Amino acid sequence: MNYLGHILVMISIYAMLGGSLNLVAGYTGLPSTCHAAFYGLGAYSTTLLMMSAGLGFFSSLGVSIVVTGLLSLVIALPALRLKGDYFVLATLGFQIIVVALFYNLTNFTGGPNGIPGIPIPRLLGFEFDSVFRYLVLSSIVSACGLFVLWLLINSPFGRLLRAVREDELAAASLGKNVPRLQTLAFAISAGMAAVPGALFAGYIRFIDPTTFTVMESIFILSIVVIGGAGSFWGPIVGAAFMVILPEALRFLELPLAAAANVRQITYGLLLVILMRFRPQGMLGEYKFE
Amino acid sequence: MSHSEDNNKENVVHSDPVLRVDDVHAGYGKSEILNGISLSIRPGEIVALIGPNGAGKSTLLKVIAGLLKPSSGGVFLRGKNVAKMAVHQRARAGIAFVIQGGAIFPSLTVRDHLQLGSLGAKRRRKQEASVLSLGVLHTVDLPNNDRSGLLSGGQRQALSVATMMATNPSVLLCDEPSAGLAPALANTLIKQIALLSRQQGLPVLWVEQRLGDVLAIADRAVLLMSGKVSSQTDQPKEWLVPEVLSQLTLGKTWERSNG
Repeated sequence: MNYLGHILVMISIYAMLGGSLNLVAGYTGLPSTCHAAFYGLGAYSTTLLMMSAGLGFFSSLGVSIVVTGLLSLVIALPALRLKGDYFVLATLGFQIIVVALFYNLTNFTGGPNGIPGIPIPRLLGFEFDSVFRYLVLSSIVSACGLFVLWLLINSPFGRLLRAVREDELAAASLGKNVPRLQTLAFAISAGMAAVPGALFAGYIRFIDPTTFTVMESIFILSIVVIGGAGSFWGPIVGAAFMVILPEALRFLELPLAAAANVRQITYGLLLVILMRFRPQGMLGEYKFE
Repeated sequence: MSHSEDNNKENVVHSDPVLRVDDVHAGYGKSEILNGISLSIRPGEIVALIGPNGAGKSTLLKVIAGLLKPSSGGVFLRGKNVAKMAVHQRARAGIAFVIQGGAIFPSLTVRDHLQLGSLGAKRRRKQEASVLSLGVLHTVDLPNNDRSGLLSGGQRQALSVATMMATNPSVLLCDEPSAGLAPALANTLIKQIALLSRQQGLPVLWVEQRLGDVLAIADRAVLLMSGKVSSQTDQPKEWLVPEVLSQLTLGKTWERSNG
């Protein structure tokens, strides 16, 4: 049961990560490769607020959403002056810098040793101390986050973002301030990534920089692309698929020596096949050029 | 230039030009396309901008809309210099540009487009503006809730014009709105734009390959040659004679044969 619960907690965390990246990558058409940096900033800032400032889990989460959203402007403002591939590379650079900071600001982050002993999240005296209890917390918080996302993408603002994605020039010639819209979407998306960051920190109760690397950013982007960029349910299905698939491959009867490698190869192969036959993702409507 | 700056401070009189282009030089890289164009458009006036390929018609529209930065010269909307404004600021100020080939957002519905357009419109006349754009849509029977990505070429062009109309502009720039359409549809669209312009007193600066159609409805025609105003007439129908038309067409083939 705990194993199943664990998988569901991870799905709820990745659904929120994928959903928040979808706002920028799917709806606004900006394939950012630094989402794990915001995930990490959310995790670290929530942890530090809980452990150093003595705030509760939920108030730390609230503050870290704002902090992460604001910090994202550090990269949004310069990177959004760039187009296409250059934007991707700029966000990649930011991702690498943030991880380097996690490693080197040892006074705050504990460097490579990470931060152990993160307090268990609690609400009104109730402790989310078992996997099942945590599943309740993480699925409710993620669902709330995804609901906010749903409201956003179905609002006039969401419609504007799709317009910007499809034709920046046409949007500008309708009087829309394209760079401002993109920056806003980027900051909201980053702020939302702080939510799964906090959920992760409170769940594993230990964070270190290895969780928030470039590989993780690419993994989150794969969730969006495979699930379906620009579709609300896409990243949710994508998160379930990407979390369950490697787990399911565990049940293949393989010789022990080769098991890990075969699993990796099968995983990679399935992704290649999926992209070959459904480039818009499982539920997607929008295809990256 | 100093003359134009003075104009800024004067109270705008009704008969003043809505749009004025003053000695504009512009080009791409080293090649200069516009060599000092001056032009003004008065309220309610339809001005046909004609000339052979490469004369700078589209380039001039791009400069006015803010897509291309001129190397010198000014663009004035109701006496106010807009040359330093970004594309979206000019759009808000009232310059609507129907880009060549039309510009639509494939995943949005027809209704979405009109709402996007009218969000930028000056509030008081929003209602009026959407009625206007619906007029354009009727000419091509556009369904309201269809994704615009599914529309035909003609419907896209019409939607593009309608979306621009919904912004309730002060001046409309059209870059071949009928390009690529079947002749009958092209003719309908041109007439519809002209009709809306007349109803609203909306001035239009109009680049069009279908010279016959546009000269028949324009109040004034301006002929561009090598980035300059070569001649203009207040009787555009007089240019509808074979000699003038063939001259323009010859200019076009000449340009083409020289690559």
